[in-house]
Amino acid sequence: MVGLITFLAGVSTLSACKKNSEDNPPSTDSTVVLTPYEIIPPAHFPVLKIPDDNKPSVERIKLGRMLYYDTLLSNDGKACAGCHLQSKGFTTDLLYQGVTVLPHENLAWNTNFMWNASIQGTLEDAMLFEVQTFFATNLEKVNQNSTYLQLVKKYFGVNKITYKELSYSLAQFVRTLISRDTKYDRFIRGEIELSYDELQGRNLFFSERGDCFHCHINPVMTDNQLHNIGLDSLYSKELDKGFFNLSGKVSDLGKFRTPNLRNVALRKHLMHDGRFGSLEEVVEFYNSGVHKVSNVDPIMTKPGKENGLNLSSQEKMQIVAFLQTLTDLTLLADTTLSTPN
Amino acid sequence: MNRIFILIPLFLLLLSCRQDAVVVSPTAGFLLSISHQVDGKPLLFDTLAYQNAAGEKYSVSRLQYYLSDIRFYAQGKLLFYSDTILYVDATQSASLRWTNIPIAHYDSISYLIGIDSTHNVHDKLWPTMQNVAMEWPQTMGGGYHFLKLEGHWQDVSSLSGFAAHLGTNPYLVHGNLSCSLDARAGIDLKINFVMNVNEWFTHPFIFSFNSDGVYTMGNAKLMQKLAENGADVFSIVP
Repeated sequence: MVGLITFLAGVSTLSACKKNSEDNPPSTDSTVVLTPYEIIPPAHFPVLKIPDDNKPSVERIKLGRMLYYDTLLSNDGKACAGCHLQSKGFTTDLLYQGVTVLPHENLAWNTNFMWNASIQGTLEDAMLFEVQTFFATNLEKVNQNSTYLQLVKKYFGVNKITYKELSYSLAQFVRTLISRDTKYDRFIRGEIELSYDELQGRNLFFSERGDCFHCHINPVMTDNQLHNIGLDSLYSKELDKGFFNLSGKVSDLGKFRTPNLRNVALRKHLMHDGRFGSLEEVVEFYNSGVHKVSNVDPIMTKPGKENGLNLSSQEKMQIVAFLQTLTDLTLLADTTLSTPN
Repeated sequence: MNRIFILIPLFLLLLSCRQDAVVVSPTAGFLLSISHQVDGKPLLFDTLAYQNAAGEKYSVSRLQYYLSDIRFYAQGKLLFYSDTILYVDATQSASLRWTNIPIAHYDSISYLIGIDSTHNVHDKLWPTMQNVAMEWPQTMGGGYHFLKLEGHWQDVSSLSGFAAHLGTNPYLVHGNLSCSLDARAGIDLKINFVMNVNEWFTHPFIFSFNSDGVYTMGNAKLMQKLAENGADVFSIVP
């Protein structure tokens, strides 16, 4: 459970002087008082790495939440939440320029962002891209908003709003979008049992037979790495080339970041281009549709499985049943993450 | 008054302990760096530039493993032991530093590629993303992968994948190296461990992708071969 911790007087006083770039000098009152907020990773999750200059605080998370739901950041009336709907696990049913929108959940553990890992680094780096490049946020307009200006002055100790304060605040909020209470999580915690089919599906998922686990690692459900899973034998469309578009290396053709499978059953479009419309189609692809291209991930082509996984209809159904246990209704209903009043 | 009689000897006892504690034996430092080659050439990823002992051309796309239980011996006597379990990803530099090495002339080093049975248990290691990604599924016995060595090889007419994975306690790799290291007081000595990737496929068993197979995980026979071959993958290079 994410919780608020208070220690000493319940606040920490930070000098904002060192954090400001030269073009954004500290405000007259440069003392920033922030209430520390502790993000507790879900059971068995990796430890979180959070930049020292943006440690979680109640105030910045609150500011980030306001920004996340505010259309002010864009120039076309859109907010982050417009494409990252809580009810859909912080993604959307719509494609954006032919690409599925990756969900904003558990991004706190990511170091590669976007399908082709075009953004690498921290969540702050990813959010900087969102405001500076994707939204091309009009800073003049944002600075005219007295509420935001006052809050940024108060929480960052600077005189004006720059992309840094926007991205840092958004990163703080997005870092709290954590899926931790799926049926599978409860099973891991020993609170409930899975049904027979769900359990069999889980055993297939984490076995050499199904072999999903090498990339969708337990319990994070992504390894945050790039793989060519044999979706295509030809890369006629630019967007199918994946990481190649950045590296220029032939060995990177068709490589995409492993998507997080949490709330995957809620997604209408699957894979980077949304070519599959159901989990059944995805499992069938792994079962019989993998293209043996020269740089397909070695894990995808095992001896004895040259013609696919050869799963029975029942086994395919069981894997789908397991994937459905990864839906996190608690996250979808958490009012602390929804549109602020 | 009685209290003073009790406190004075206690104070003297404490003083004597403190005097003992400041007697420190001189020590040396070791800096162990790890690098990866294929028959003397630096390891380059995703490059079909290497040939194994079976004559098969191959490339490497992933090389990750644990190096642990490093012990330093002088004339058969264990003088220093490190309990560090080092995760190595060959795409990044890896090194270890010790500053409390007893002064001696060391003539052998032993180590493990993998993790001893005490630590090779589900969730035992500090949960970094790397360690979580190295977990061996509980449904297959739990613990951690000791090694992930993956790549592609030139099959008859096309490129195929291979994945040499090691895990589970019977397939822990025990390595031993002769050395000549003079640990002198106050001096940091550099030790270069170099892994020759080809050794995984060479000795004592010639490992052929074509005839042995390309996927070791869950295959006891292949993991045994790999584990035995792994015993001499490292050498010390001056």
